[in-house]
Amino acid sequence: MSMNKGKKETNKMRIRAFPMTMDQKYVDNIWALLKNAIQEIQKKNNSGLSFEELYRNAYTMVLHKHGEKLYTGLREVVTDHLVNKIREDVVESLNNNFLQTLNSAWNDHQTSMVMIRDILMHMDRVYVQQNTVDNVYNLGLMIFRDQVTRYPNIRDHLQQTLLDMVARERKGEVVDRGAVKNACQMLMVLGIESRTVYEEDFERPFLDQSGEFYRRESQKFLEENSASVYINKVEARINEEAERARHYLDNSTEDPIVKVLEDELISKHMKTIVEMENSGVVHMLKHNKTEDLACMYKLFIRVPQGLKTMCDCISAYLREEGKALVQDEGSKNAITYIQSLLDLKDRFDHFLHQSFSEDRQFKQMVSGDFEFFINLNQKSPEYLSLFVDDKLKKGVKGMSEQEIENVLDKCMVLFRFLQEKDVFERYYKQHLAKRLLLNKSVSDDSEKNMISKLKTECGCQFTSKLEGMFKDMTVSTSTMDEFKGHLQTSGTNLHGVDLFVRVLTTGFWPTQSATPKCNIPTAPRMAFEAFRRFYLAKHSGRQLSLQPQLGSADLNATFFGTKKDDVDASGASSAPKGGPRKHIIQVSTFQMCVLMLFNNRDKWTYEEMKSETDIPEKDLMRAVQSLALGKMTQRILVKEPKTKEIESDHTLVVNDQFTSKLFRVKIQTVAAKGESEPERKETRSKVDEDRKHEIEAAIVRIMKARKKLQHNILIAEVTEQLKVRFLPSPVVIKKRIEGLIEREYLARTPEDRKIYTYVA
Amino acid sequence: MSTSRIFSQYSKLPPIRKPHNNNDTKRLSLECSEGQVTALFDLYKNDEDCIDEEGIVKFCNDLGVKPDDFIVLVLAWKFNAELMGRFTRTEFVSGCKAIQAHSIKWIQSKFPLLLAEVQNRQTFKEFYRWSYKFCLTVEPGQRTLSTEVAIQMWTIVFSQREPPILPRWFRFLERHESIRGIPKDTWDMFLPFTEQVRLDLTNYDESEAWPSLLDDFVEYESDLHNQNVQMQE
Repeated sequence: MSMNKGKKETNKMRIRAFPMTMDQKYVDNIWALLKNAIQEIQKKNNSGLSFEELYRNAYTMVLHKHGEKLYTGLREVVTDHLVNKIREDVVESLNNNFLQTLNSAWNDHQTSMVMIRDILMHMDRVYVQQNTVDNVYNLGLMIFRDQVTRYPNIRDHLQQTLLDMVARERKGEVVDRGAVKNACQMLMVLGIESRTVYEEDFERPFLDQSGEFYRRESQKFLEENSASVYINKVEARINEEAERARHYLDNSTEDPIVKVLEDELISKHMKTIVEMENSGVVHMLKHNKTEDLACMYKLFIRVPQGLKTMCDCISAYLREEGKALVQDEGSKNAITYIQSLLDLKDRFDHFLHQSFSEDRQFKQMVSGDFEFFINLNQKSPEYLSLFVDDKLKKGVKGMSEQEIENVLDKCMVLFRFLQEKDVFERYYKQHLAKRLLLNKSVSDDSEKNMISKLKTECGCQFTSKLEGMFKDMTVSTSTMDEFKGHLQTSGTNLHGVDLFVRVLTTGFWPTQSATPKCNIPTAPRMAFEAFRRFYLAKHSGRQLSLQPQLGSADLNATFFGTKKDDVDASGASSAPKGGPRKHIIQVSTFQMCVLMLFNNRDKWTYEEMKSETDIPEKDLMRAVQSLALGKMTQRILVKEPKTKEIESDHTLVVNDQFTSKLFRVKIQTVAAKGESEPERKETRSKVDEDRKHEIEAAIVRIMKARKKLQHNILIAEVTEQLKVRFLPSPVVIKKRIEGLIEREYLARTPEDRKIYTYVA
Repeated sequence: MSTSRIFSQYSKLPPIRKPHNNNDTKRLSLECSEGQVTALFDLYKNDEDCIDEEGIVKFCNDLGVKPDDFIVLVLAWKFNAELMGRFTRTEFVSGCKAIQAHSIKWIQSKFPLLLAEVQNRQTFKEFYRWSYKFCLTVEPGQRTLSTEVAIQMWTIVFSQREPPILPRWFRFLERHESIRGIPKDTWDMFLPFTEQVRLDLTNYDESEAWPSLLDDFVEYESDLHNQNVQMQE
């Protein structure tokens, strides 16, 4: 018989069916043949079979519409084999080589089913399609699944065996990974188009067991009582489980099992680990354990709230440290205060970089904490300005230009945290003025550099006045040149006084409350008058007032007394050496007034000095202290009686015994580094005054633009506009609004008292 | 078609007459009462053709009221008086016209009407606000009412219907000498305060646009209350 292999019929040709009919006997015969073949295959005796013949027979059956018989028969044969032979074998092996037996049964089944499917391929294509039943291979799978794998005994035992093996491996034993992998693959395949079989029969109980196991593990780890050990162990276990899933369970189990670990080992014990005494986060921070912190970070980032738990703990510690720094009064000066804050910031920047990979949440926490404690101390703005002042002065030891630049950049970071930036501005102005006037700046460039940094932070308003100060300095220099020219051409005699005047525009420079009084001695006073005439001739309509609290003088001094000689061996003092000693003494204006008194008279009481010079008590005291009570190399005057205090009736004379190695002697003024308390109060009240004006200006500005605005929105906008300088409280803003209503800049709308209008 | 043809069909309509409105008689009665009003004014005026404080005292006496009575303030308001303690001729005359009274008796008879009128919430609000400015005029150039005078004014202005919070408000003001007078805005806002805020002050919101003196008052009251509660516990 020739056979047409199932060619698809073309449109033009029609192949007529064989004229043969099939009788029942013939069909039974074919079936018997096939059945036998299938059984042989199942017995692994397929070598003697002819694929072609079997295929043809199956094809014939289906062709003659006996597909159903074939299908049903197939099901019977397979079921019979699996139930009566295979299952028996597996059950027998329950306690002996179970997994091996099951696995080889499964492998055999797969192999034979492939072959069977090949033979019955035509039925798959035609009968199965037409009747929407399962295809041969899947049918085989289902029967294997239901009759073998999920046969209650076998199913339970399989589960138990697999779980057991995992448990043993966790304990460190070596197990037959291949067998487990095979079994898992079998379960996956048996799910046919889903993973439900794997999931139900293995994965779910596996996850439950794992949960249990790691619950106990976590307790064990915790008992070790070391956070560092704990997290390292956790990391190891997570890696182990992930690898296990990838290697011999199913890949898809990796995520769920890792999640179980994260849950049991991390989430449930986050706080405990973080807060562990002597080993937790605080300990790690104190002892700079960047690696442990990095490990913890990598772990905790996996779980919800993990990072937050860490953040909270770190934040609390940082705030404690910061608070301690800023509230430690008395023992610190401004420089060490700011330096310690910079050091703290450096420490935490280091952690951010090394351990927390610049995580934004952590960065924000650090910034927030710094902002919190730096503003706890009201003197922070003043101290920061003093620190910057120190770095911009001449004679900064041991720092290259680049290093100074870096430090100033770090200072700007601290500056951003300040809430009362306007207080900083006020002090910065004062300190800058001192630097400029006393010629203490290291360079104009570094000053301007710092100012441009401030400008970037705060805008022009902050820095425009500072720039005005620089301008005054330049203009003064050229004014002095003109003055010198004028002196020559007009032949004015300054009587030996070499005058240098700096003219300061009032608005730019920090003002004193009132210019202190002072009687300037004749010679310098006349010289100044000459300048004043010259200046006012050029700029009529201006007013000049001398500021005696600023300025300095170089005085030629002659000391007539004997030097305190080394006593020679005989104990007799030798004759006075040389003639009178000359020095140039550099003093403040006030000190000049005091010293020049001694040109008129040899002896002065403190009281007499006061009335003659008219200098305010506080300034006079400071001036005389630095002249009479300093180091020997600074003692220009001698006081009787030789006490530490200066009373009104004490007398002062020139110290003719004065000596110094230097020709040019600079007298230091006894000055406080920071402000004294009354001065600080005064500064603060000035700041408050300024703030009132700034708030009102902001209110008027906003209302002018918006014409009509609700109370709460107005408060919010004012706060927003001013917050770069300071943080106004709603209460204070409200009072300013009332003031403006009173002065009729604003009014309430008649319909709604909560809405204001701008009164043009 | 021209309009005239249509209208030509109608006979001429009688001329429209305004209703007889007694203008003549009214004018007469007005004149007659104006004369009376002027005469009334003359009874109390001084050399400068004004009713000054002395005159007002007499006027009030005749009316049977005290000069600091509520109704006198209402009268001043109705008369549109510019300065406290003085009625000009114009003010007096046009004021009496406004209330339609030309003699002491007539004025007295109008009292109930005036009192009723000022009960109306909106009217009272205008009257209330006006009284601050009016009171300021006692001292020329003054911008803020002193606390003492403000308390007196409040007493008068609220004499018909006293807000329950008033005595506590006065206690607060009297105990705080640092308060430097009552600005207009605070005076104005006190009225809605009495109307909107509950007696136990629980619905007061200090983040709202109330004047800061009222904030202070509420804070003071709540401190007192807390102290009392603590003592009772």
